[in-house]
Amino acid sequence: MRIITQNKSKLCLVAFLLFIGTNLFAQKITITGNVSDLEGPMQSVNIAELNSSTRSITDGNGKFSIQADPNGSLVISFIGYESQTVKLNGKTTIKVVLNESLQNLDEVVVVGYGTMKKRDITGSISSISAKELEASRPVNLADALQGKIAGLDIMTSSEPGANSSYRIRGTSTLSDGGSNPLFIVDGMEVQNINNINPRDIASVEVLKDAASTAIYGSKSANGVILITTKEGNSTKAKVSLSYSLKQSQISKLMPQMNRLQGVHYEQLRNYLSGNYWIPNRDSLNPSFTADNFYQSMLFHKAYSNQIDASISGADKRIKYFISAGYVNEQGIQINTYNNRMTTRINVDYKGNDKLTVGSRVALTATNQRQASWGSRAQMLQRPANFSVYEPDGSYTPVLANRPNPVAVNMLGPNDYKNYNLNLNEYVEYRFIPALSFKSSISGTLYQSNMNYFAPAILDQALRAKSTNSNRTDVSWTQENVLNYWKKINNAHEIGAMGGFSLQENATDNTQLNVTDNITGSIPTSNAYGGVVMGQTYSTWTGNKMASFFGRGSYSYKSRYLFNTNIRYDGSSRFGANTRWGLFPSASSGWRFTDESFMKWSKKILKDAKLRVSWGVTGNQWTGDFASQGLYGTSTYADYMGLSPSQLSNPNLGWEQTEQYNTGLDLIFFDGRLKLTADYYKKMTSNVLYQVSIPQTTGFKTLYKNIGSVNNNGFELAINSTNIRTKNFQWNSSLNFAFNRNVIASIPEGGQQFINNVFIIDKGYAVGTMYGWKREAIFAYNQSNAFTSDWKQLTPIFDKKDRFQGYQLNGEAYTGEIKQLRNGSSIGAIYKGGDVMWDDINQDGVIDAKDRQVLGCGQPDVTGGLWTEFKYKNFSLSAFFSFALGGQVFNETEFQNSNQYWSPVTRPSPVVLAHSWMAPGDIALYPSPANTATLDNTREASDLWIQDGSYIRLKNIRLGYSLPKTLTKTIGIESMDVFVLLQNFITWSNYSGFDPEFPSGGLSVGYDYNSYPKSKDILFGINLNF
Amino acid sequence: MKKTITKICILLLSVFAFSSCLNDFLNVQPVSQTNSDKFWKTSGDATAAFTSIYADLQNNFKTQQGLSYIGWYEMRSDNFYGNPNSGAYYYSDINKNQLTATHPDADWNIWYKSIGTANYAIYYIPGMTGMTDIVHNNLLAEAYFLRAYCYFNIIRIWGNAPMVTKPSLSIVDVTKPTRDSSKLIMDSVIVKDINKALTLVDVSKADVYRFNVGALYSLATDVAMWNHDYANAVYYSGLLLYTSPTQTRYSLVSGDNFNTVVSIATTSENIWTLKWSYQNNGYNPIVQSLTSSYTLTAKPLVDKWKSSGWNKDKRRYQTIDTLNASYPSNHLTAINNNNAMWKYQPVTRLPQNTNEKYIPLYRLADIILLRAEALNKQGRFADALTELNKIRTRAGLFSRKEADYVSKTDKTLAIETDILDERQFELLGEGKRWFDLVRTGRAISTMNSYFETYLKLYGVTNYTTFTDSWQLYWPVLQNNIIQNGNLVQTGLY
Repeated sequence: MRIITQNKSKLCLVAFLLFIGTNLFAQKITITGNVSDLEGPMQSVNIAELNSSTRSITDGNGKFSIQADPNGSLVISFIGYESQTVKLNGKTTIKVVLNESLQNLDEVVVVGYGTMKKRDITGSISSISAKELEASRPVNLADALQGKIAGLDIMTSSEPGANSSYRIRGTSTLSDGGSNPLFIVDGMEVQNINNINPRDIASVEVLKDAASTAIYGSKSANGVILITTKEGNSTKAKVSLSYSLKQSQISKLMPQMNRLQGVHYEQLRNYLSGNYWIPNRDSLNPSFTADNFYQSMLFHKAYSNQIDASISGADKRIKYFISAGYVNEQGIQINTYNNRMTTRINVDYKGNDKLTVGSRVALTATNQRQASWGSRAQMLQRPANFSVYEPDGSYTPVLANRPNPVAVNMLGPNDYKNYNLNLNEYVEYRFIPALSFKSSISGTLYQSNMNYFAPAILDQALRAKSTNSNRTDVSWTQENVLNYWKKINNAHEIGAMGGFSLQENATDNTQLNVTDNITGSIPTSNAYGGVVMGQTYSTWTGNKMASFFGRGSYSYKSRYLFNTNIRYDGSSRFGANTRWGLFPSASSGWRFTDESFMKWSKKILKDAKLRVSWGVTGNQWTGDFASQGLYGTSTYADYMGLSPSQLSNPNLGWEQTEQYNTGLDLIFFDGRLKLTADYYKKMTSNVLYQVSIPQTTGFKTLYKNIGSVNNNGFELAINSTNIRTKNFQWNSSLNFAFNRNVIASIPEGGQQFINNVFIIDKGYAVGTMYGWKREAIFAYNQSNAFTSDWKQLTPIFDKKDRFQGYQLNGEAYTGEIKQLRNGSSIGAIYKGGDVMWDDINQDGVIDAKDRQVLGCGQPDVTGGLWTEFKYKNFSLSAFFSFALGGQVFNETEFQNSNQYWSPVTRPSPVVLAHSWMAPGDIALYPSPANTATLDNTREASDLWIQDGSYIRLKNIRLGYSLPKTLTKTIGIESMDVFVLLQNFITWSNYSGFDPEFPSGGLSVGYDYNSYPKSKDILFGINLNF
Repeated sequence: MKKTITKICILLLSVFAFSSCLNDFLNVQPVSQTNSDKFWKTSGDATAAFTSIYADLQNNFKTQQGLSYIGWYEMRSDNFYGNPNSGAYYYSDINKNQLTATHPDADWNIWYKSIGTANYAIYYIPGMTGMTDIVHNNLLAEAYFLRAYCYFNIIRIWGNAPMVTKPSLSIVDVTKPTRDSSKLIMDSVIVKDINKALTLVDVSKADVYRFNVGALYSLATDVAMWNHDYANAVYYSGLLLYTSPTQTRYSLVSGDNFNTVVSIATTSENIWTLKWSYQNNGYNPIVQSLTSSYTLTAKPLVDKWKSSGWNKDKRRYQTIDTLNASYPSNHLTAINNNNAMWKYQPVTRLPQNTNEKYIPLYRLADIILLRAEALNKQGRFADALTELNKIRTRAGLFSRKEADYVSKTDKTLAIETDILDERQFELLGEGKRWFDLVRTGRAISTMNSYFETYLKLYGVTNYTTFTDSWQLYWPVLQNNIIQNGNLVQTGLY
């Protein structure tokens, strides 16, 4: 009853107010107050009186004043924050603390050729904002994104300037190098993402499912990463400065034999293999009396500085963002570095209500010295007693085929000077509010100059050599897009987009490779004795594309959402008949929480959307002239030859990937908990594959559309604000992804081995390691004895080690005895110290039929875990990334321990310690004898396969923002400082430097002298004026 | 509604019309590479194609550290023992007659790549214009010569093999041929190609690194000897030795400079030589392997050379290390890195990687000895011994006389044995011995006796005795059979 009365009185009040009219509202008083967030006063916050047009904004101290009705309400709002409505109830001063928005459903997300409200997305798109990207002050995008997005697997290297490998939802193709996603920066396709300064990035969108990527058609089967750079947005010019200093050091050292261990190893090896060749051990020869730990000579503490400055602003007509950045990154390997200068100018100008023009200009210049790859092989293999410096202080030349690893690093340039210029100009015309047309032209100019010089001292034959090469990539894209968007009756939203684009890429490559340089004082190919014809060339390659594309979208109150894309692509890479490909997609979303029957759940489940999508995307990763008949060069003596090298296949066409995706977006408790889950199925068919053909034709392979690869997987991302009080906040997020990959079909006889161990065949996942499996190491010569049904017998010896006979299950055995042989039925019989390989077919012969799956480089689960605590102006965060269930093929250790090698190679002392040395040893590795015919240390075996799972504490960050009241007094808007510890802890069983490294698309997990991981301490400061 | 459909139709039609115009835009041709339409215009084009075949020969022979050359031509014979302990342990399998279908030398693919290029040349050269007939004909002769040379090697190494005489011009030409009989290949390709080349060749050309008329006469002699066609062998060797211009072009070097025929290989005696350029072809792994610990000059051969009658041979100390090479009782099981062979680089033996080292394919002494063999088979013993004695005299050895053989029951056989011995010493390390043994039907007996009286004596017993003639040929590489199911494996491999 009371309730009704209350309502009645309210109704009366409303009626009364209406009756009184505006007179009463005019009686306003001045309300003052201030607005702040966790970190202090906020500027430019909108203050509006409810149901009135009165507006105000806060000043630099967060203070405001507004004329308002003393009994009215004020709405305080700011972009990225939750709006608050404050009832005045006669108060004249108010204090408001705004909270950062947790749901941001109206946030705009960049999609192909346009934007969309996050709320209306129907595909699988993950976004990441500038704030998240910048927290760890990354030098490149890969470091910034790693572990942050479910389903995006990134493998990085600590080598300055090195490329990382990206994999979105597994490997879907069988061409090495064809697995990288498409990178689009401000609408422009780019090849090398390392040229982007992460500080310039406003947002990154990762498009994962076909419905999202199909608008990019033929290049999008591996997913698309869209990068949007910053633009000006505040009327007051905003100046940002940031600086960071990083100290890096090697995160893990590998055990290595010292001089004495090496001597023992050689003695053992000679004793066991009956070899007589002992390399020089003359105790009076200073070349062989050192005792070096090469890793400490090759790695050092490295320091890097990164400084960035930007200025941005906007008024009614113009928006601008101008930035410059410089980083000099030193590598932990001596004499390796990458210095990068980046500049960017982003300007948008509004000529009138209808016309907008804009420009994006970015220039990057880098100066890099790479480590020569061989230096790390020498570091681990070269005996410790070989000298590095001669008594006179000069570098020791090549000894017994082993170049001096320090000299290899220090002498001569291995320099890359790269210049990258990106331009994008556009004009946009809005005919009517609903219809606009945008035309743009963008271009990239990339120039790379390489200079390598190896002085005579690095060569076995004391012949100097050098290489100079110049590479120029020019590409341009012209795009025309018509966009229509209309909201009808405040319920139906209709969007349509149609466009056409032309694209051309061309690469010129010129290389000069010479020998016998007459002087060491000129480190370029300028004064030399001879030209290496096969490595001296000038080549050109190029391709063109033409595309039509369109999108239609419909939304009813954002409750029912439909999207459809279509793209029609033509590529110069394919034959005239098969040049054009059609890539359709469709998706829909259902926001079921908006349905009336879901009202009951609103308190807990704030927003929920179910997404379903289907689409077809393409891949055209082949040579530019893959469908044509071509001739290749060869050299005989000092003549150049030409002969047919590629057979034409005019029917070569697109590789297609069809993908289904189902996803669910859930938001609980006012956005305190957000969950996104996706399941997908990806089927690639007509794989562009180099098929082996009978070589009696004179050709080895032919590009054909053949074979198929399937991927399916599950992704989950959870964001939560666990605690939120006035001064304290605890946020965390977790993402992980499972992917299962399998090659569904492959042409007859198309089985391939990559790097001798990675099998490409039907029924196997890409990255499957295939070969012989070690059961044990035969302890005695007599251990190679089995019953007729292949049960191993136990040899029995007396006290004087004389062989007595066999036992089976503790009882004497006198029956038939079988023995394992190597290779064939007349092959050698394995002895003590040899490997007992798994004889799968139990024929007593270890041959090709006994190979099996030994592991797979692709992890089962990848992901990241992030957690952050904020207390007033302090923040503390930790970020873990993980990849579980993958194996690593340790090619480095194979190369070091391989018994074929000469005694001037050193295996790992750990491997040696676990090797068979004397009869009776129960060992993990075979005897270190030179028994090459038995192939005991064969490459395709599980001797070199290790668990590559890891969990890494990728970083811990402690940040502090100076109180704004304090910064104000020194004329700074904001200032924050932070300390970051990176890669300090990695939990992994891998014996090499690190289980994570970039690898080829088909040889995932192949570690061959990869650059070690660095652990870093980073100090940074950000200033805003 | 109708209007909308019409509009959509017009839009779609214009897209398709536009896209066909775009086909011109999308037509991108390689600039720094060529294709068959643009190639085969000048004699330079054809020469470039032949150069690629010589490059193939180099790549072919140097596969697996020179294993292919040594493996096909010499390792199966009694000249060298293969080190089972070294990295290239495949040498040992070859020497012990333990070939398998996965042995890297079982691969014939590079030969077929060369044949493919030669087939292109034979297909395109007749249509070329703008050159004199002499040049035109000589180009065609080179194509026939190279194809004959490749097939001659294939049938000697593998016996039966696919006979491909048409070029693979596009995807429709990709077929899976069966193995044709070696006799068919000999009759319908090798002999015919040589005959055509003989009518087309420009006799004035004398580039020792490429095709020349001397090389053609030598190949013709070699092929005739393989076919036991002694009349033609005498005829072709006669053309080389006794007709202009080759008669005066070639002469034997002096005995004191004997090793220069391989260490320099551009002497007056060299007819056809593969040149090695350090910059462009890398170091020569054939020479490296022949003179390093991968192979070991067989002890019986070294001992025989030391015996009276042979020990004054000027070739001996230029071919092998007569001072330091030692053969202890365990020399077959523990190779001591002291292989005797140093012909390619006397004294220093292990060549520096930096040297240009040639591989002589045909030289005068080889053909003189083949001619001697042919004359002997024809019963022209005096003429045969005259040819043989040219070589013996140069070597500083006494001349053989017909009278020496009076007591022999089979005079021809006895003389042939002496000629083959001469060839073994003269041509050691030059890739002749194995096919000499096969050609003369002595391979099985010689090798079985090598196993029994040499390897077994020094404790090596894991050889496979020759029992059947298919063992004289190589298996076909397993991968090649996988790629072409119509191929049948050799014998019982």
